[in-house]
Amino acid sequence: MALNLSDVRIYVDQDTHEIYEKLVSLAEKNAESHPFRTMKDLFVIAACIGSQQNKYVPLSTQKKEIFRGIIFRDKLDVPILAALAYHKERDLSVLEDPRKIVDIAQGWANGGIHLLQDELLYQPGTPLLNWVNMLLDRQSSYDDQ
Amino acid sequence: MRFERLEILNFASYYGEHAISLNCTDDKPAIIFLGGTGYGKTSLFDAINWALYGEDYENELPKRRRGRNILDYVNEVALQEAERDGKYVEMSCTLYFKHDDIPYYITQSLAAKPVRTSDNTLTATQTDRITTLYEIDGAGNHRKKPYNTIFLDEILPSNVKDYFLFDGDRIYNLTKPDSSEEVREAIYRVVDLELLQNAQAHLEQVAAEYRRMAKNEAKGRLGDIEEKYDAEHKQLTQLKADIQTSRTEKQSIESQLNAIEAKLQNLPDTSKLQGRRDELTKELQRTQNEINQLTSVLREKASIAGLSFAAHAAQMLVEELDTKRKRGEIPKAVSQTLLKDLLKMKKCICGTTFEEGDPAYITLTNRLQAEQNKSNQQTLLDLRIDLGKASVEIEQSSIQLKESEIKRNELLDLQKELRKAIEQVDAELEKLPKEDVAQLTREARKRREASNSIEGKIQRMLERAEACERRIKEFEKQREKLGKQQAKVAALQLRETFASQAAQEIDKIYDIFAEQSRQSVEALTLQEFKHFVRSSSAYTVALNNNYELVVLDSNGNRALQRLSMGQSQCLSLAFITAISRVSEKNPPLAIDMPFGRLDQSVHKDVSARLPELTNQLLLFLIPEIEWNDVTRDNLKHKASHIYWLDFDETSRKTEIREL
Repeated sequence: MALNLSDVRIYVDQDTHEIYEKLVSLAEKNAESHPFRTMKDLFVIAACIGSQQNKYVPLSTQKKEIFRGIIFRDKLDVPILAALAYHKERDLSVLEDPRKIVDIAQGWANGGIHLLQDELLYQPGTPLLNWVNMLLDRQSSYDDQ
Repeated sequence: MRFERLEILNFASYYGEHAISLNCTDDKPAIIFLGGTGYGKTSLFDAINWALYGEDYENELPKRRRGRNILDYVNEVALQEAERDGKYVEMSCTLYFKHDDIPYYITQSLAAKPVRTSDNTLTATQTDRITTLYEIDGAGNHRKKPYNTIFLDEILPSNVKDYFLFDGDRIYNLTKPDSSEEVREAIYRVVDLELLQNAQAHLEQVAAEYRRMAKNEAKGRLGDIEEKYDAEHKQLTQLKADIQTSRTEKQSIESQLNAIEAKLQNLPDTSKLQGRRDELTKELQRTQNEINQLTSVLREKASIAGLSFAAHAAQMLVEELDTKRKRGEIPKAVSQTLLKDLLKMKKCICGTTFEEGDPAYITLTNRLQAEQNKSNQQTLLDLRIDLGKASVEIEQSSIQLKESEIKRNELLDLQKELRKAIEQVDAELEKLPKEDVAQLTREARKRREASNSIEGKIQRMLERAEACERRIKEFEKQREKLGKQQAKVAALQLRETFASQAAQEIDKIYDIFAEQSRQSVEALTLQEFKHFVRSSSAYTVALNNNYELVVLDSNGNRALQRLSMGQSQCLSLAFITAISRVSEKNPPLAIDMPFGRLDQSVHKDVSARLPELTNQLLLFLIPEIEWNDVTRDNLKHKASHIYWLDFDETSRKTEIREL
């Protein structure tokens, strides 16, 4: 039986919602200015970056639901979110509680989203190309090592 | 609708009363009028139009007939007699027709007084004007009906009449390179898209009214939300209107650009360079499409490759899970499967066979049960497997991301080169000694720049509209929540929602219907064009998304400018008959001088095809030129009536004679 996050609602801080809006667009034509197709894609990436930077910021009371857990891909997003939860708690029992996994992801995402904002929106170039370059630079630095 | 009879009195060159039967049968749908230039063919065409559309047509006359107005149609002999006798002259046209098998007749009649101007010219001054519409019921009683646009809209709305009652010269305009607006209008009106758009606009107005009422009614925090909600809607409406305006503007500029490019293409000095420019532009467009596709791929792959930021966390979890597995705290992946297989084969791992109920069977079943109870461990095992798979997918996406980025950069470089090459061609064109070429090239450049600038503006507005829609959705949630506490506002919100949703549904229907109509018109236009012009087999006709009639040669190059004038007119004719068929209105088709501009070579095909396209066909033809051996052969046996118009130069009267 795999981890199941389908019934969990995902929230972000009210203050960061605007960043999500700026970076997400379903439309293909807006791909360069909106590098993420869904709120879910951005949320998971922000959580990964927050965790990588060890920047955990719990949600404030002013929060906003952005999607539901059913959108997570079982074989890709869910195991990654589980890893992020373990990274925070260092205890496998955290994986028994879907809400807890998502709460932790929300905290990481809340920390990571500002970094994404800085890198993607506040740099010269289009947000998508900034994002791609950020990934490729990281990749090549690993390759060099 | 089918015309039955036309009665005219003192109309144009027709002195006194004339009655013309327009009855026809299904196998002989044509009624043909033959007359030389100035003999009164176009006057009869005008008489039918005037009878049907009265003042609307009078208002159009100066534009259509070089400044003429309806009083200029008062018969000059009748006017002279009225002056001599000190009387008024009456002019009228009565058209008898059937609509849905019910007979009607419309009369337009005016009385005019003869007046001598200071330069001694005799003119008519209107003193009375009457329009009447009668229905003849089953018992033969004539019942007066109100003559209004509602009635006309039902039979043949004034704004679409040009596509059923038209003159051969005018239709040539439809295939001019900058005529997309006229083509769009034709489809829009004839297939009733206008009705859908009006319905949508009306529902949006209703929704806006409910929003306004809800805003006035709501109190406290809900009041604020309603106000913001209303403001967002207003902004969105404005943005949509601005986007539409900009799109129309862009379309118009692009039509002008196409016309200029077509001109340049046809100039002997520039055709080679312009051809090169077209090739480069096509290549540039192809490159752009590829770049767009790759941009979407980049976005998709980046969203997976970006998960590598969690590599460290994933590695930690994998190590922990592997440690647990080594310690036997997580079942091995094979255990459950192995136990199931052994039970299925009824054979122990040591080779001993057993039956259900045997001690070995019971031991293995219990063991399997125990393994299955370890659901948490199983979850962890699955998680370990999924982490492994996820890691592979992330790695693959990272590789694909890199490859796509490299390919994209190559295409961007190619795009730069293509742009440079186009600029060089433009520079060469501008350097050509002939001033008109340079001027045209400069004009084309200006329009390209303007088109790009408007596109940028449209994109910005689209993004703003998207943001507006997102905010509206957000306000919708909040107003629904807060509305529960204010019943009256909730009721208004509900109505507003219904009206908005209905408007949105109509909008969707509109898009589907418009697209279907466009495709049907396109298919029928091509079909008819090939019927009309046999030499057109090398060409493909398309009605693109901008409602521009495009003719492409076998290489996919634009070829409209290469069509002869006759072929262009056939294309217009094909288009008009196509929209009349798509509209399913099935009114008579009346064409003044249909073959006037057509090459003799296409007379045969067009004259053979026209009677097949409608239930009633009125043709006004010039003898010999249009009514020749070829057209006569095709149309004679399809005609219920053939009328000869005789104009007497001395008496300045036209007589109508049936052949």
